Amino acid sequence: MSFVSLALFASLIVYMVYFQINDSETLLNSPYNKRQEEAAQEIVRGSILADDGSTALARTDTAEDGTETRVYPYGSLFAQAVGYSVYGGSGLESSRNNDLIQSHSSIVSQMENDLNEQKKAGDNIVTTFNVALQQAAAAAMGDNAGAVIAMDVDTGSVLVDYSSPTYDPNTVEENWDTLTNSDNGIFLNRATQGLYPPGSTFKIVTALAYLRQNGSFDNFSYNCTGTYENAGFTIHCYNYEAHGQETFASAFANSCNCAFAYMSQNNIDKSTFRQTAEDFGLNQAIDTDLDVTTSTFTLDSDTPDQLTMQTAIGQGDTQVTPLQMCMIGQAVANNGVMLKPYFVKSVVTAEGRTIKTTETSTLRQVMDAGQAANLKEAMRGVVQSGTGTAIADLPYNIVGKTGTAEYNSAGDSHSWFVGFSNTGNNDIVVCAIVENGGDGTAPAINVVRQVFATYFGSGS
Amino acid sequence: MVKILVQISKYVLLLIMIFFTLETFMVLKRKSDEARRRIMRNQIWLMVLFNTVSYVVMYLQSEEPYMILMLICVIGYILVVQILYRIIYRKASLILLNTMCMILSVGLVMQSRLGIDNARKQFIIAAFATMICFIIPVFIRKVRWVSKLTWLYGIVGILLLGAVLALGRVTGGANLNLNIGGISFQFSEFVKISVVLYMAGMLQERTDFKQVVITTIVVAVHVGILALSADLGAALVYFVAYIVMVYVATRNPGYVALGLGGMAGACIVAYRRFEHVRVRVQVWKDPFSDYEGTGYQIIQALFGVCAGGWFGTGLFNGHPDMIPLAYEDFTFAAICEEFGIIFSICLILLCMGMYLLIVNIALRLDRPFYKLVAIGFGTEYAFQVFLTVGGTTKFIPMTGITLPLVSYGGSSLMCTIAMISIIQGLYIMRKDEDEELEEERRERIRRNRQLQRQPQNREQGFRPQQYRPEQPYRPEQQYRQQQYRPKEQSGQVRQDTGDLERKIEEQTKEDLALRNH
Repeated sequence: MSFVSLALFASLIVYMVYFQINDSETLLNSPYNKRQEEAAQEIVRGSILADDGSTALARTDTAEDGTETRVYPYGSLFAQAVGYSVYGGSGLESSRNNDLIQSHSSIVSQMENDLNEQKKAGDNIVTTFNVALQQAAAAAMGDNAGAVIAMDVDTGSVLVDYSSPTYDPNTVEENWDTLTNSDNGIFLNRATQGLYPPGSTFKIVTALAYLRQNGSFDNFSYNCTGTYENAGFTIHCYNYEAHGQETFASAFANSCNCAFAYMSQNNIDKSTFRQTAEDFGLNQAIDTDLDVTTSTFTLDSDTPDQLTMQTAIGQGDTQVTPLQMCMIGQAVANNGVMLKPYFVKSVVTAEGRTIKTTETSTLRQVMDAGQAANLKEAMRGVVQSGTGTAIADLPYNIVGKTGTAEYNSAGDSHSWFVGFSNTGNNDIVVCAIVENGGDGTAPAINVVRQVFATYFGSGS
Repeated sequence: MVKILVQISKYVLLLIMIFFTLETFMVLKRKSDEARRRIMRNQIWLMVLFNTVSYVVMYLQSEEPYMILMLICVIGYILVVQILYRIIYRKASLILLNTMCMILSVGLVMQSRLGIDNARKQFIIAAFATMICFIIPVFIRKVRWVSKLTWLYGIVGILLLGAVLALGRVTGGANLNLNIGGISFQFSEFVKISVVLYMAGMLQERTDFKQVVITTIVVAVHVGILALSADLGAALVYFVAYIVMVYVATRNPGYVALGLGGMAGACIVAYRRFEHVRVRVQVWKDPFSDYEGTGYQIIQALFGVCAGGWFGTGLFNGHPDMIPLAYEDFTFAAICEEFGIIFSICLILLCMGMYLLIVNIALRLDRPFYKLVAIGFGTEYAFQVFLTVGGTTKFIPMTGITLPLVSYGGSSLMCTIAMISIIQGLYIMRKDEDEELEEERRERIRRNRQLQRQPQNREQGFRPQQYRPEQPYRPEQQYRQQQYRPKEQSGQVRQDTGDLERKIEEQTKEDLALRNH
């Protein structure tokens, strides 16, 4: 009997050790755990740094009398991505709060602080954000609403995460009531959380579905008359333009709605289409440093033809975030390998010692390198001879896909562009959406153009 | 500067705890009396040091002068109890006493940390209970008929529990306390003692099937009333004590199987029948599913358990105030937070040591009634620790039971001290008997020698009075001798001494076996 009791005691002890090793980290980081806030009292909140590891995007200044102020030197530029720290916080200020209010400073400096009755210095976060690129994106967006996101093709690090309209996080507390009452979604990080119809940029997905099912683009041909009628529903090309006889490449370059609606009815199974979309990451939650809204793709075997035709050209019920479109571009650029986007490069102590580093991680192989090459070729056509020629003059082999996404019955549309440089070295992928941009795809192309120009350092 | 002291103090306190725990286990193994005595003295110093460091740190952190007062009181308590035991009950198990004082000290430090008012009350109750319980060992020696009151224990237990249930129904709530003259009594704690006495009384002589069935029915009534009062923790504790005691009395594993089967059945019925049981299981499975409601307590407790890491935050550096009922059901979480996981594991080990000491004593008792009482108390103690620690760390569903000697609660504290005093009484009695037996044996040898020399003086040799002046005067021993005298005069001497001889041999074997264990 006493052995049973001893076994019970032993199991308690084993469980406690297991609990401490296994579960405590999760519980400590739980958003419900108010001890975080208490811990913060003992620590000067760490800084949030740009990708160079020194430029502060957010820092805490301590005045002579000990009052602390959270300062955002770039004002509204990183408002949604970096966030604010009052009222529960937002952006990285909220999601990486736990890193900022912990101190991994050396024992010596901690003791020194204790002796001097000073607070300890919290750890700093080194983000992946590039100030110059973010500034270029913001300048190009101007007063337009929308979002710009840029990723490193080979690592998945996010260089630009800009959302407009924006606000000044330095004055969030003072302006809280005004800001929360505004109805333009000013706090929303449109790049990661804004859901939009993808418009013609989604033809990248449709194209891969076609490629998967038919092996190559070679056998496709279609004669575009400006409208395509099927199942009692009519799809028309932008401005009812008739593109005439087209190959797959020219249909893609021209962003020919009729051709893609036709292929959705004749060349692509619904199951293949859905599988392709989901492989590209739609309907898949992304667990990263910032909250990302999951993009949705609802097409299945019961979807009526009319909706399938619309879905093929990026209308219908499909809803994507700019980040999602950027990731699709990234997968094509990276020979079919989709990487997990991340916003924090590393966490370092106040003295600069690295505590943890984010490793590049693969989400999945969306397509093989051959298919990726085919898609790149098609996207190259868009810039060289199709709807994206406005960016063709940039000298670094830009490829991409334009989009104009109608978002209401009046025909108002958002302007999209997702594109990447194809130099083979340090390439980036940039995606921009300009809400109600008017003038077709031009506004978004212009924004992306500015980012590329800044990145490659040639001005525009 | 204070911060650094607190940081250093937490390692010091941890080291003290580790040493103390190791020493308790060393005594369980160590053979030489001298080594044991040295360890015992050592432990007293460790306790004094533990309390001094704790209260001084708490004073520095809180600047509450009461901390110093508490320190003086607690150290005074430890020293007085130790001295009194050494004077009055020289033969008591000092290691059991030390372990009790240490666990009590940890509890009082934590209570002082959480709220000085509760700590003060807790201390007064502890001191009061200890003083009252001082008479228990004497009582056990003098009053032999306690083992005859079987049905009184059973009836009193049922009446007390029934009263709580009835009044709880009347006032419309699961109120487990009864207020009498401004003092709140939790009867299920007192019944923990009476139910064990009842079972021991029932099973001391007869262990046939009928007897076991009658015992089972009465215990089932106890457990049933508790289940209806929603005091599931206590119900489980009684039930496990019942299974263990029946097994020890009958040595029949069939009863254990039946008992466990019955328990499983009862759990299923309780789960189906009672909403609050389902809620507790649900909360245990996924506390976050109802964070604001039913899961809140356990989640806060878990936050507390992991907040301090291995070494704890140090006293007054954590936030045990965020844990609901930190002074009662979730004291263990508060200890984990400020003293750390390693310290808490030591505390579990210390509780385990306490249990082993009780079992050790139980094994040396040969009267079934006393043996069963000790086993019953030991089981209740161990299982209570298991339920509360397991519940706080979400190892098992929370049963709402407190950690004996540590959690705040007068009834629980009083009853635990009473239980330990009873066990001390049994131990002292056993040692006295051993000594008497030893004495009888020596006497017989001398007598035999005398007989060989002067066979005509045979009758004289049986008079123990002749040898008495050689022994130091001890009241309880005199009592024992008075009791034995009539027997000797009644002419059954030969048979008695024969029995005694066998007993001595058996006991010596048993002792040897124990020590070699």
